[in-house]
Amino acid sequence: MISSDVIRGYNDTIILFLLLEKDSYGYEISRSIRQITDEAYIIKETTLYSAFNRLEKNQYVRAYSGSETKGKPRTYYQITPAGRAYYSEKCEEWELTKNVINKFIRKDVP
Amino acid sequence: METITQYLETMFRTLPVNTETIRLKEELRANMEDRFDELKTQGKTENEAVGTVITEFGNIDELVRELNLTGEEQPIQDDTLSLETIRGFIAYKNKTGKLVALGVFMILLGVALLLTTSHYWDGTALEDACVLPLLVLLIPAVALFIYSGTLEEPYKDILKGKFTLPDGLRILLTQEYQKCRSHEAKYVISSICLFVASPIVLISVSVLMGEYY
Repeated sequence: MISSDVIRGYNDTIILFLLLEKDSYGYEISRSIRQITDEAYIIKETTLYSAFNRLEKNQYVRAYSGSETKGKPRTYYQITPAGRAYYSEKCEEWELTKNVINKFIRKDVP
Repeated sequence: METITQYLETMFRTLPVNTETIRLKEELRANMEDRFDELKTQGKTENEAVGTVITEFGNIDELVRELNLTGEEQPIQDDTLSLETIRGFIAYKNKTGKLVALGVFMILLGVALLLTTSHYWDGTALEDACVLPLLVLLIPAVALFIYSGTLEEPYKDILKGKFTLPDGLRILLTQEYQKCRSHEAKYVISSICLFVASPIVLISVSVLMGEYY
């Protein structure tokens, strides 16, 4: 299980990734994260909603009311152009981070 | 699911009840119930499912921090302005602007009368009385200036720049300011025209009058 400290900077990126192709809502997003990571990352509810709030405040996503199959009204999120731009930036940032950290990682730990 | 609802009630009990917290609670509940159903269909017992759902809830403090749920839109500082105060300030500025303008007008009128009467009364017994119109008009003018000075009192801090403006009000005021700007241009242009016109009038009148003397 990934520690939330490590993943902290990338929660927004993960959510935006899931909104690239289509709009979605809370439960669907957390389920996708679980499935894609094979249960390696199970995002906490509070983390998820903090992220939604942050993304909305920064206008990277737009929230609107929609209804799910069970008829319960849900808040759906849609990525904005600014959100897409931010997502690209974060992807680049990750590539950079990955390359830097990899220089200090040894597969054969003594 | 009763347990989930109760869990949320407990988590939210120290927080204020407003539209934001109610909406958030609903969202979380809907999410948690969907997760609960998913776990049940995977064969978990109710206890196991509820346990997992609650574990996956996380830390309420994170939400409180991020969403600033303690009910304060921003730290309430003593010098945060209300719309009422702002409207009062704008009215004060309008009023003093007009009072001071009136006072200045009176002084200028007094000077104009002094010059006019000195032209006519020169060499007569009323020579020294030329100053009278100015002095007479000076009194109300000064009174106006002093009065507008007293109106300043409640807005001292704003005038010194010691205030905090809530974001919503800042946006509202910026919009209103934009609307005023077009009027501002008209006033400035007309006052400049008057400045230029007055010596022209003076010169043309004195040229005309010169013809009679």
